[in-house]
Amino acid sequence: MNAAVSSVRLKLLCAVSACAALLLWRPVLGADDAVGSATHGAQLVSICASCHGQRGEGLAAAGFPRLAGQAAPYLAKQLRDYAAGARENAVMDSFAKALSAQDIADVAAYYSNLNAPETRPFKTDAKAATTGRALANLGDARIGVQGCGNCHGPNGRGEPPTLPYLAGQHAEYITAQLEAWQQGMRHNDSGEQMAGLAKKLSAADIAAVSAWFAQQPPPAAQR
Amino acid sequence: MAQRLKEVDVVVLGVGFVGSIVAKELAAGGLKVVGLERGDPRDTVPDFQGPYVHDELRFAIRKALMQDNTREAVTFRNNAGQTALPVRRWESFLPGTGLGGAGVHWNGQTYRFQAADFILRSHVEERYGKGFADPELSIQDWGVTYADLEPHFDRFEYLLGTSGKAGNLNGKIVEGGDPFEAPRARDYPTPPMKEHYAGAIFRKAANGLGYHPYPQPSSNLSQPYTNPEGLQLNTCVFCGFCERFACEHYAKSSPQTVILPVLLKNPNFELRTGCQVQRINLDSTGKKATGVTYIDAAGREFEQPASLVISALFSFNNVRMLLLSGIGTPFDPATNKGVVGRNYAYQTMSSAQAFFDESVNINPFMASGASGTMINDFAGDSFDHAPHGFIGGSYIGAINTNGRPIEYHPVPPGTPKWGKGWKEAVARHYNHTVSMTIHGSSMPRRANYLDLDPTYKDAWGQPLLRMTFDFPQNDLKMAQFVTNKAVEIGNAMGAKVVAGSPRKGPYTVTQYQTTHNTGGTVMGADPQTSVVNPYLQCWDVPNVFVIGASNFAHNASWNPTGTIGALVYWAIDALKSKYLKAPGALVQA
Repeated sequence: MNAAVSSVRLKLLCAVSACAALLLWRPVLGADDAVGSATHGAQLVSICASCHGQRGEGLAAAGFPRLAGQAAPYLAKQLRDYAAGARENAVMDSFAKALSAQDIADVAAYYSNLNAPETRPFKTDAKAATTGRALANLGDARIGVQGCGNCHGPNGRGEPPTLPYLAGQHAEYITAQLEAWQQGMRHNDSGEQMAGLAKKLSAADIAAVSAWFAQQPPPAAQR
Repeated sequence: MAQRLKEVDVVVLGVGFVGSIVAKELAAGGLKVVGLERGDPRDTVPDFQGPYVHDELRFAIRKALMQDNTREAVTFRNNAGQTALPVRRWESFLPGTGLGGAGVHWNGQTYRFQAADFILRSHVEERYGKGFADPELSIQDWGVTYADLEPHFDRFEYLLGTSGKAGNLNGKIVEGGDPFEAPRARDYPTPPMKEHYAGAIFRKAANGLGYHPYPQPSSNLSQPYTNPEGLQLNTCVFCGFCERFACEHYAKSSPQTVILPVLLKNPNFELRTGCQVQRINLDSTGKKATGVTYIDAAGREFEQPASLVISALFSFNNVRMLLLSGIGTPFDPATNKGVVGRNYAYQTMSSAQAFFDESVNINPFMASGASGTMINDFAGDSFDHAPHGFIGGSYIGAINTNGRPIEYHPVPPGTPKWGKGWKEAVARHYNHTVSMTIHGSSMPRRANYLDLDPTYKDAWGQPLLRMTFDFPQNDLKMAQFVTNKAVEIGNAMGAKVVAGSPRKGPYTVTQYQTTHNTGGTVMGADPQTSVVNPYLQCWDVPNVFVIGASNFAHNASWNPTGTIGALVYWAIDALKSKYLKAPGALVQA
């Protein structure tokens, strides 16, 4: 697969996903899309499972994200971006580079079809919960940040195929990602939106919004 | 009895783009400024957030962001022989209301008029001879030149962060931009938007026909941008909900994103919302304004004294405010005397739809308000009008601002209007159609004007504005000519069927066209044919400035906002460098 071409196409897909969901309209996939086989993917993921869990539920304490039910095009793009360096992670980079285009499609298809148990954690303090919910669904006028739900769906349920769900995702992972956007370790969104808004968030904002999403029920698979 | 408030230096009527920019500049200079806004206060957070903000029924169909015409409407008739009736549901045009004005729900299409527009009568007479333009057209020079305005166009575009590609940098034509544009001192602040597929096939066809396609200038941004006020804008995500909607992403340039946060922090400025201005008050000489009278949301009447009054309202309301206040002589079409309400113009909108087979996927929902590809080859002064017998022109563009489910269902001619056949055609063509916008100039004529309605009143008992308008033959001829060109482009794009819809008369208020209503408080160098002088100062009352599309002496081929923005900064420059140093008439009548 030509990563550059694919990247451009995915940027366009990313842009349209919110509308596509409203319209029940399927974006027309380009000729370079590998069709994923979840069956073959199942044979590839034993190594993934050591961190991301047997059911794709992730591992909160280590900051390993939940993958179950995340949209396949999103997961495939992340793997390609790790391989290309648009997303930096010492462990994932090498795994991603070892996968063929077909492998990536298969692994993505596998995880997108999984349903994992909910892993809702601790309760935060009320003030942080209020801040987190406001950031997630309304944003913050004082710092010029829009609500996360505008792209990631109401309550962070995701806007497949390209915008990941945040509901039920581990707080440690969301926090690490917002910090990665802030620091430039991650720069693989369509228009630098994430870097811009992450830089406006304080550490307390990040902790609050991460904790709030972690407490929401994740969406089911079948997307 | 109105309660008299403490005098301030400046009162600004309307806090949209014009009002917020003027107020910001004057308050920053140390003046005490009050902004009176009839609508509600609102901001990106919390008012414009999803999923509410994408409610197509609420915003696009029921027009939730528009002026409440149960309280304040416009009456309309096609000609002076008819009786005008109030527009009870906005269709043809959609006047906005509320903090930020129409700058909240616009599409972000940000143009400069051509150099010839500002000297229209002189230019037409020089290029085509004195008898060329239809004598019914009351075209005139604006009293200002493009060269005067260039720095102010620049300033407005940099405030907004407009995304585009220059076609003429200091006289040097730049490949890929618009070669017909007037020279600009520097490029746009941000690069053009990504081109959607409709734009790409339009570009290819237009190039093949020898035209000059270029990316539409967009104030929904192509990349993150920090404007000179220090405010940050985000990259547009092509959600397809711009016009009639507010932007949830801080990606559309609006008063809320580019200037209000700075203005509202200035202690010299006070915003009052829910305030319906009744009139500008004059002293006993009638030559000096003493302030304004308004009624607040609780129905209380206040008098706000001020040394300087700036009417920064939508074009209709600028005209109406002067008429209600007795400033300037109302235009009388019978005698052709008077100026207020004269030279009302609109926009001559046509369209062409290119229907493709099912192998061509347009994905129309993948859209932004101003991310089209277009040509100016048949706009304004770009071509030789001599063989055609009309003046003006239209741009043609594959603009594609949305593919929203309630509003967007292109079907070819001959399709049933409802039922199974219609539904099948919508499903068949939704994703395989390119809709071309043909956006045409509107020339003023004596029979088209604005005045106060003799019968109908608003919720506060004041007469409504009455519009008398029909399309001049000049403009209908122009629309037919340019629509034919668009159909040729559609055929060159490889469409199976191309349906051109040139604008036809009579004008109707029941079909959406555009909200580019202009004129009525026209600017100019001659007080016999203008309401405000070239600095947008009232000839008759020098401490009243009127700023907006109502200043346009005609409406050109392009969307008006860029030119309004240039006029605002041009007027501010005159206010700061001339008027405030020596208040009084800047130009002797």
